[in-house]
Amino acid sequence: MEKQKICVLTFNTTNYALDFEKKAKEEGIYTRLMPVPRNLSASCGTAAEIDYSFKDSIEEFCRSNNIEFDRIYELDVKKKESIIDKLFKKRR
Amino acid sequence: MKENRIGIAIAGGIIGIAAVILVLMGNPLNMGFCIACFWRDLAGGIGLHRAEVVQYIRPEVIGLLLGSFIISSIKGEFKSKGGSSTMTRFFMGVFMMIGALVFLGCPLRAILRLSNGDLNALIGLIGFTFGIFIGTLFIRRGFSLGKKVEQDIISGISMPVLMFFFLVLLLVAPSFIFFSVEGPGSMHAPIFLSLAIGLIIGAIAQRVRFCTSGGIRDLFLIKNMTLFIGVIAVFLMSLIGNLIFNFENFNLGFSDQPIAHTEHIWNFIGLMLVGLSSSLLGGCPLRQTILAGTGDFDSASVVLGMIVGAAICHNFNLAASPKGVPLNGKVAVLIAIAITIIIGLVGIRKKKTDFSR
Repeated sequence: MEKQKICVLTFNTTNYALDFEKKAKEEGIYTRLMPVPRNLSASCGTAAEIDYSFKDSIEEFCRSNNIEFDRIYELDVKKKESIIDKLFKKRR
Repeated sequence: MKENRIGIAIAGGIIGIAAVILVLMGNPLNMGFCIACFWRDLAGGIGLHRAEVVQYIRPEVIGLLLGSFIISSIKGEFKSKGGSSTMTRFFMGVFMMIGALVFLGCPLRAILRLSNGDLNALIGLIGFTFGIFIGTLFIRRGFSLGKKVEQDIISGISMPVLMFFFLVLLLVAPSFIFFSVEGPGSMHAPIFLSLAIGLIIGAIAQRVRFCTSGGIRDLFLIKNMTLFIGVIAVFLMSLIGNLIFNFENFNLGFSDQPIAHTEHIWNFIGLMLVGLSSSLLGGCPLRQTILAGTGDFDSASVVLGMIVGAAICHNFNLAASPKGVPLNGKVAVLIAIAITIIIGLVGIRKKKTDFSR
């Protein structure tokens, strides 16, 4: 149950999230889209998980690619896999 | 994020079981919960339409909205916000109701119908999925209804207050309120049970963000299962509940299903319209109701659109019945789809380019 720090980026519209994923992939930056984590927001928008090491350059990256984001969150996640996670592992 | 999945699975399961209980306690068959039907019944109860068999101020929907209002207030998540194409959303609420009443149920009821063996609902759900898929095409191309902004408290609180007013009307039952004496509107669980279940489901759905269309949208758009797990859970628990407690009414097939018709094309097209508008609006009828409870008055305007839409459906003879879909309903659904597609095309925005300057 080691802890891991990740960054989560939220957006005002789903579009920007999709744009972000596309641009990040083009530049070989790790990212994964997911519903906004419940503890961050009651909305049901789309957020992007990014590597913690990328945190400082993300603002510049978004600006140069014309992507508006809402906020950057830092999260501690437990690196333990639940049964459900294993079931859906192929989706990650 | 893992907790989300477990939470939403439990929430879906509770919704499925609650629907079975409501049917056992008096709600019409396969209609333990139906957001569209219940807003329609409410519209009839306050006399906006005069279809005598579907008039009853349903405490379930009042409970849903108030439950979401109460829990979001306690948790500090109530926020009066809106201003994102509010009028457009109103009309999309009207269209959503037209689609739902041509199919005879919202997506949630479609899941519940399927869990009691009604295969017409399967066709509806395929249409619903197809509609959401079309919606995601618009979203991918840049569709947005605009950003919501925070507003004064009155705007956000008006819908919960209105619900409280409707609840008082139901309990006091003044003579100007309508109560069906026969048909689906006359069949209902005891008021306080319905209200309590509504409140609980409303609170839970707000906590886990349950949404039928959101789950399917995420599958298409970001290949994420989280919200979809809730949909599966509703189906499974309701199926199990029906088989155990209500087996004599389980009926696998297309014909003789309660409050349903077998016009496959219109079942498909009806829910396709609901799916398309849900994905453009960012939530199914249930989710819109929940959001309206959290102070989102854009969603409140969708709900009001659904109530007005229900009145239009019955006053203009658009709504289907077990006999089938009237010609007016077929025409209306096609017009509504055409307008929704226009809304989708107009809403595709060019990205702001001045952001970097």
